[in-house]
Amino acid sequence: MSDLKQWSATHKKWVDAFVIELRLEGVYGATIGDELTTVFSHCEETGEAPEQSFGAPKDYARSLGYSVPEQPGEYVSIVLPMLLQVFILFVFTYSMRAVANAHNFMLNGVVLGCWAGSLVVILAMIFGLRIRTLIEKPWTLILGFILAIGLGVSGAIASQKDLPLIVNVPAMPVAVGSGVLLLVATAWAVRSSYKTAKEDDDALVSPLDSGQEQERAKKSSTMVSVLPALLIPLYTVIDTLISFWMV
Amino acid sequence: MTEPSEYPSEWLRGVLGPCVLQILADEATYGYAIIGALEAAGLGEIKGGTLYPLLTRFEKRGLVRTEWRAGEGGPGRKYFSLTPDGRAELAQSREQWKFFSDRVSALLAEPTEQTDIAKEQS
Repeated sequence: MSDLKQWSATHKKWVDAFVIELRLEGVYGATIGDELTTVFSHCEETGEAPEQSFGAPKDYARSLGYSVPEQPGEYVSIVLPMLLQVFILFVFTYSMRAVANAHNFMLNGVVLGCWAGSLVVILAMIFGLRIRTLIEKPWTLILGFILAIGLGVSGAIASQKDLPLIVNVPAMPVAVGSGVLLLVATAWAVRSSYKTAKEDDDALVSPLDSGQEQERAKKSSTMVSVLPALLIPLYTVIDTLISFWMV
Repeated sequence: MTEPSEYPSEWLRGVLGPCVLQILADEATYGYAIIGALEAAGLGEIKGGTLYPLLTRFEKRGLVRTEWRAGEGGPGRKYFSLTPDGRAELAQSREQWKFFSDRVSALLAEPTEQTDIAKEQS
């Protein structure tokens, strides 16, 4: 006899493909847990591997008929505040570096162009592509990521060049203003992620788990879904500390 | 020439739903037991990948309800039982099958002139 976790580890490839397919179809965590436990229970009875009794994981997941077609930009409520965080991150880190070096907040046209390009790439990935495309064709995600990072790095290099300035203002007010905006965007991002995680009932729980175990899994799933919203502020703090340390 | 016990798999696919409803008519039971009952009825071995999507569709339509029960020395089992809608569906399916199978049986019962000619030609 094995438990569900042990069994899932033994048949990891099948289980992962099955769970990912149902996730992509927008199925609730509790329903996925129920379906996975059904497969587990059946395989324990027959002594067969899941592929023997249920065939290919993707086909079986689709045959259950839960599919809700995903719309491009479905996760806008989560992604939009995070996008705002990214934009403010550019402004805040540049202004903090300027404060640390006691000079003005200065931007030339190339830096602004790189920022705009980076945002266009991120927006295109969010609104133009479905999550399924990003997972099934990971090169689209990698390409978009490299483009966005490349533009960000190009902007940083361009900021060191002696080019005509478009923005040249005192750094402290920009740093304070963008810092406040970053806090607001972070609060918005955390709230949206938390709300969506709760509404989507995202935790993968088995009906065989006790009530306590199910509650623990739900709490942990909600906390994990909030983490990405905290990454940008965390990076900002580290970048600011490095800026002041290097002076 | 195929044996009489071998038949096109799509025949079974068409009537699997009513057969499963019939098995659930007496008492709540679980997937593996349903597969055993179908096999005992001479319908061959049905795979989990065929049965459970059918049961999930029944559940969505409100024809069956499910309940997890602790297993004896094994993992829990998901039990399926018929709802009143499921019983009504079974009664209707039984009628429909009788109507359909009576006609098909009548048509296939006696060789006609046409089938005799076809036989001679082959």
